[in-house]
Amino acid sequence: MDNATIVAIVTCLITGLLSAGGWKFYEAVLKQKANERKEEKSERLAYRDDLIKRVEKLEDEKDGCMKVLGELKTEFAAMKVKVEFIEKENEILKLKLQNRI
Amino acid sequence: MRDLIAKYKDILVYYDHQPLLLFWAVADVFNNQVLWTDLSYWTEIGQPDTYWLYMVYLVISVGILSTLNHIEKCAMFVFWYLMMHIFSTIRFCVSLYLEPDLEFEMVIVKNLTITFVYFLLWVWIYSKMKMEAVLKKVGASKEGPNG
Repeated sequence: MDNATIVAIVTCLITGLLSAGGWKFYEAVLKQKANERKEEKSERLAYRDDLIKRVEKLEDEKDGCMKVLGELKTEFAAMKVKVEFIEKENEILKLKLQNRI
Repeated sequence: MRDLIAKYKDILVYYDHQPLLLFWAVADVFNNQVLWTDLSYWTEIGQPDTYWLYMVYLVISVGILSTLNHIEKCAMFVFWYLMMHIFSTIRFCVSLYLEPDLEFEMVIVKNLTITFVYFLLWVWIYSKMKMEAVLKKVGASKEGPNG
């Protein structure tokens, strides 16, 4: 084997090894970035799921509150009517009392 | 002029290499000296190693053609083609350097220039294929010119 062939083989070996190493490194970097993106995405998804659960819970509570509010409004209206009647009756009684005196 | 340079950049970065590889490999197979000469011819002119070098090129070209649908295997054959190209070029350059009574000839410069362009071509094809294989392996995708 002549010198030129030996030099060419050594150059090819070095180039090949460097190239393979470079690509492995690049692959590792890409894998790491992909994993980071995956983790970030899963965190975002977990946060979104948590928000969905919280909104569902709040919606349920809101429905309950609306029901109670409706009942309270009805009771309040009835009480208002009662108070109006009592006030009128009170006025009448006051007038009757004045007339007696 | 700026558009033209941008187009060159787009061609190198975004365009596919497969048609070039297909036509190159087919041309390389049919142009291979193993098909048109035999070992005795090269032995007679004192270059028996050249026959085997062509034989390796033939195997690699057939390998490229038969693995075009498997990017990783095809990239491996392209890598070996590139190695053979580097091997031949370095061997030629070192032989020139070690030759004591070498005269400067334009034809040598021309051959080396063409060889360098071919080297760039194979580096480009190999980089594209390897990049595609690595991205496929990692499960990521690269954005094209239109996003």
